Amino acid sequence: MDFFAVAGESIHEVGVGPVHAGIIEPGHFRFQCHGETVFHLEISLGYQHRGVERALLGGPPKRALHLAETLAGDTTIGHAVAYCEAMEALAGTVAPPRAQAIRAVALELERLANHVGDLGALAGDVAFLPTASWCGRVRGDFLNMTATICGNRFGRSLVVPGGVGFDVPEAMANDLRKRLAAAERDAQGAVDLLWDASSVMARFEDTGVVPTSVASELGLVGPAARASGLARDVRHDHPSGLYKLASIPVSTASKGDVYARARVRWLETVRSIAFVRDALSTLPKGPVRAPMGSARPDTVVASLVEGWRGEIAHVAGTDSEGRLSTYKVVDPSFHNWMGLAMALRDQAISDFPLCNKSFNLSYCGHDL
Amino acid sequence: MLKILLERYRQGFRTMDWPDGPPPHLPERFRGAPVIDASRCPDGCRACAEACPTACITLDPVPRVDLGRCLFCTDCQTACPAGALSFADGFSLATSRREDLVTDGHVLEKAKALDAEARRLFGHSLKLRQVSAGGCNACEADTNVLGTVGWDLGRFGIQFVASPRHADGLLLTGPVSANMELALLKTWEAIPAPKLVIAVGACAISGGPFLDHPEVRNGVDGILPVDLYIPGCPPHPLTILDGLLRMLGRLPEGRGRAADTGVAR
Repeated sequence: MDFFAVAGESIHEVGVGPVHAGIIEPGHFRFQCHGETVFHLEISLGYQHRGVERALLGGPPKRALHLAETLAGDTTIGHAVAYCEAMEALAGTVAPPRAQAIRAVALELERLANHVGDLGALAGDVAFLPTASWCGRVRGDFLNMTATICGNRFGRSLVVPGGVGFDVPEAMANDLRKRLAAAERDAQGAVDLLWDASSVMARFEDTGVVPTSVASELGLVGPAARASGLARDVRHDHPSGLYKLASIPVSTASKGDVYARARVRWLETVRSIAFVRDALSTLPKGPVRAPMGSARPDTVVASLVEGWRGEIAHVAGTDSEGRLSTYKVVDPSFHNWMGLAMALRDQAISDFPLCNKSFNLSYCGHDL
Repeated sequence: MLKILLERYRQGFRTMDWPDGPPPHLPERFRGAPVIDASRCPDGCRACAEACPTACITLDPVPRVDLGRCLFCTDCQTACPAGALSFADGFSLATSRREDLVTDGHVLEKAKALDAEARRLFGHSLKLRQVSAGGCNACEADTNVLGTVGWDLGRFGIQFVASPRHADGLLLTGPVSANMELALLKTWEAIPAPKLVIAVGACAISGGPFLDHPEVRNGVDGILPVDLYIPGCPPHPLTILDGLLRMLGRLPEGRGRAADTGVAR
């Protein structure tokens, strides 16, 4: 395979992967370096390709929902909602309000688990162990709330075409609100230490900068875009379900460095917690699942969901028999991997793990 | 510094007692092995087997479920017209042999301890290299979580290491995508013998939701010799830890007894 190469005195190349150091998905990285300084990072993916889009054609097959859930397993709810909204649009079915509210709760719990977990991982990458330890645990508290609702920490089988597979009775909603408050306190206590620690700030600030202009030209999405000053958020720009009624303010920063991305993650954490608390207090009454109609023939639909990494887009099209003839998925990682490459320009190669974690992109979401 | 100490005091000590004490609380809706009550099956009904997305249910002569393929989803339960299908509440699901994953929900030959020599080598210090070969990052995440303070995998001498040269074994997730097969084999070859293979999740065991996709190899069977199968989609961290400890012979009778395959409910 051909890679970019930089020539000249004292230029050297560092190749990493596909198998990386930790428990993480595979991908290949090539750094063109001069001493410690990275001139360019080339990211070569595709190791995770499982043929999900192709498998959906002619269907949906029995496995369709499970394939959607595993497009990126850490974004099970995000992709399941995008898939189900697409199928519902094709069929002209509308999920009941209570189901839409439970979906939004689950989507925000997924965001909370990942944001808090990644703030801990960022702390770990700069060897600030208190926050790393506690956030790792608090992340589990959020996953366990999802498991309380549907039995699975990642939300498998919760979101189904036509609604949700599990209701949230009032007693469960009250219990979840209590646990949410405890997790909020623990996360706040852990994360506040970050902003006060000069050793952390020295590593976060001015590291991995993606200027607004670059973020805009690349079309970055999600927290990475918002940290570079782009106010884009599907929950605000193209709301569906509960987000039409209960808005979440868009959290932005301006500088586009690791600090900005961490800060945006924390702001979103605080706002998601408030959103979930309100949503659990005001679940609409009624059923949680509507019967699915059959997909209309010769129709194309698009669905957008703001997953924790950013905009998830699913596009589905049917043939004259109403079977899927087109299915395309764009995970936010597809837009943002190039952002990571740009963040590494003129950075020390030793800051790569930190920059990488500040994006925390999906490999299988890119490779599908 | 004072703030850190105060917060340390407030966050408290949260490492679980298990396996010396009770296991962490699992939610009411947790799904262990599917159990089919054949006495309630209507004559000739095949609804669950037909609904299963990975064809993991066989009904003749008695209902059996292949946990190696099972996604622990609810498609079979939703399809059952007679309420004959339920999920057991136990988390201890790992086995040493692939065939032991085929179960009627009640009999399960749980993972056996390695032989004495392997236990002497690995029983108190096991270093693992993790490879994700098409994994969706759910099995990876819930393996990674074992390193957090709540689970504290280090107290058992188990550690995930960066280099295969430092490893005693390989923990595999994912259906083995064709594009990762070579890297997986190279990683395996780089691990010094004797070495173990642990397959985590439906994908690594059978291909899971990607079963028979031309882009994947239907899991690790036939590619590497497997010492421990941990089913799930993804398995709960407790299921993974239980499997690891059983393999190392560190869950003697009487300890972790609550870690049963559970009862149908």
